[in-house]
Amino acid sequence: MEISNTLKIARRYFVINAFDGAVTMLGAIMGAYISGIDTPRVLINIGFSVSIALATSGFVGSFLSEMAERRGEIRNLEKYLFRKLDNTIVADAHNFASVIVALVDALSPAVIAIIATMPFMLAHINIIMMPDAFKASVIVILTSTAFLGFYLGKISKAKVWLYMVIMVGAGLLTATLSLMLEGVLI
Amino acid sequence: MKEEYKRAKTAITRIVIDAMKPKELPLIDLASVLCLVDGVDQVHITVSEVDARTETMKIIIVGNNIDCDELYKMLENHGCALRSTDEVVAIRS
Repeated sequence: MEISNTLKIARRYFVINAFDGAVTMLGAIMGAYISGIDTPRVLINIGFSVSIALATSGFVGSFLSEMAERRGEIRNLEKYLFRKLDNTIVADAHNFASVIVALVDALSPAVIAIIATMPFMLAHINIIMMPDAFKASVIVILTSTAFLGFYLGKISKAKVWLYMVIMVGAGLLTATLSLMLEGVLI
Repeated sequence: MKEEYKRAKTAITRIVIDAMKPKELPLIDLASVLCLVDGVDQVHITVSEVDARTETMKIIIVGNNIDCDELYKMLENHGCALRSTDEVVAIRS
């Protein structure tokens, strides 16, 4: 972990991709809302499809890019050391880091997308009504963006509220722009 | 004399190695794993030169019967480049 600087990179990927997942899901939910979709099943299917897509793209994209980047670093280091580093702890640490980072990259947006889908599952089993499910899902997403802002603020040891406002603001902007699409497009 | 030579057993008790390691490999971790090699009692590592990506170091290993093959293997496995063995102390055991 220390050799490959995994924690720092995984933390960065976690925030970037969790935020990505939250805003993507918000976009999907607002799209469904302005389209007048009132079947929970449709939203659940959309939520899980988005979750699978985010996990796949997150894992494959970051695994390949991390591996390429780290292989380049290893080859560069080999020039300094005048030896091959295959099958050494250093190479293993970098490979391990690529897998961990890819897993974080895959799971963080997928989990947020599934959490955002939960209100529609409650609507599906008739615990809450569909309009409430939309509201609850948006609140869950905005809360998760606020949490990510809080987390970033804590890491940077700067103004926590500023990060929270920016993150939630980005979510609200997405929701507002999506609502403005109503009647503009088809 | 020749028979005595054949029967005699030797042990390496001190070895000084000049090696280079990747900068990201923590010195404490390297010293700790070298301590686990058979026959090693003490490991002293002194960094003599720091480069952008590497560190050159002098490793002094002290023990009662150092397994040199395992020692070199351990260094290789940890991505170290061996430059030279500068000093060896062997005793008849």
